[in-house]
Amino acid sequence: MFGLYFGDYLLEKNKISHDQLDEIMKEQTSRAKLGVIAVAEKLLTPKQAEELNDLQKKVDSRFGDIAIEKGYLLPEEVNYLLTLQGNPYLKFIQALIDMNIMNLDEIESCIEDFKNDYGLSDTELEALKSGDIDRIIPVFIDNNIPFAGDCISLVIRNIIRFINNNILIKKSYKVNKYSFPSIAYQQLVGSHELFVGLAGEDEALLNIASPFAKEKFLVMDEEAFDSVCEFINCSNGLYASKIITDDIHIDMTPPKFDKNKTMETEGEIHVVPIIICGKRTDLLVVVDKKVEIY
Amino acid sequence: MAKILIVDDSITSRKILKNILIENGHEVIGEAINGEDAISKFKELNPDIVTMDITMPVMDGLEALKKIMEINNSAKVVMVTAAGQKTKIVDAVKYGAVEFLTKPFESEQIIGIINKIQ
Repeated sequence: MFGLYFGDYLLEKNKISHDQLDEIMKEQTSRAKLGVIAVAEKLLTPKQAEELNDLQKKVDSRFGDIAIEKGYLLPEEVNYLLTLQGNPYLKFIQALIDMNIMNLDEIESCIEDFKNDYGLSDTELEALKSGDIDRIIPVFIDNNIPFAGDCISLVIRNIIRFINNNILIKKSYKVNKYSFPSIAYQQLVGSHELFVGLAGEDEALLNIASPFAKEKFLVMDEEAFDSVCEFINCSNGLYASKIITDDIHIDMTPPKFDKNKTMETEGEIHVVPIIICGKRTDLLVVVDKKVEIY
Repeated sequence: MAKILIVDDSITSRKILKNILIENGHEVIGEAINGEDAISKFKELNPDIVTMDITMPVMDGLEALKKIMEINNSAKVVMVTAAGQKTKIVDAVKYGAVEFLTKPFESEQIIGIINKIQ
């Protein structure tokens, strides 16, 4: 997931082209090299890594062994670095280097700019690099939204589980009025009332409809909407199942869909932009307030 | 092989379930889109097993289950629920449902249950 964020940033800053980004995403099959990981983890400087790479070309020895011999790394540090070889963030960095798009110094500097431009703390940047969705979600979403935080997190996890595991979440925000070209939604009733919807252009919703139904839809017709509705229904069911342990009982009403309308509430509509295959879908959640669609 | 009637307002769910059942040698003899439709198709087709979604417009699955059990008290009705509808499952068992399936569907769970009750 870090690759998508950082790649998107590099594109925006004209550091790479669309074609290069596509290539990088395909390249990421190989494991990251130890030198790259050591620099990324700030255990070596780029210069030290380069020196060890040059040495490795001359002697028949492993990078880690040479680094220990030179006194640059401890055996425990080498072992730790080896555990990170499959990390998606490091594979992305490795692909940038292998394709001669950037060297380690340039990457370090771009990551610093990325962190500052996105307003990320060190912890948030580490969360993105980890690839751990449980750590990534709170970077973009206020998990403390009463009652809805867990629901939002669960919908995102279910998108990753059932729809596409390469998604990009943008910072969530709140509005009380929202106009949409298309929406699939469901209302939950009981101890709490919840409105959960997925809205966007048809092209975006197709990126949910097709993988969930395991059928290629070309237009957002009734069947395609049904698929998105059913995805929301399943996700909400899993959420209802989770909160019942806290003695909160909610029940699902039949999901619905609509086109070219506006929704409005006296409360807040939590909007979470989710990018799937380059198209933006908004996850919309309203808690304990009536929603009017007109 | 069982002759099965699928009841669900979602065409996506009906298709996924139908594919799993057919791939595993069962025959889907009909599909219904709500509780009322289910009762009418049950009378018409006399299926071995009915898979019945709970949350449906017009008439929900619990109401349809009660009516089907009044028509034939040995009918085998498997309730289909999104996870988290435990209270409704308890009601369904009380009304005579033999089993329940949870969404999202998992092939092994479906076939295990159908094979057990047929």
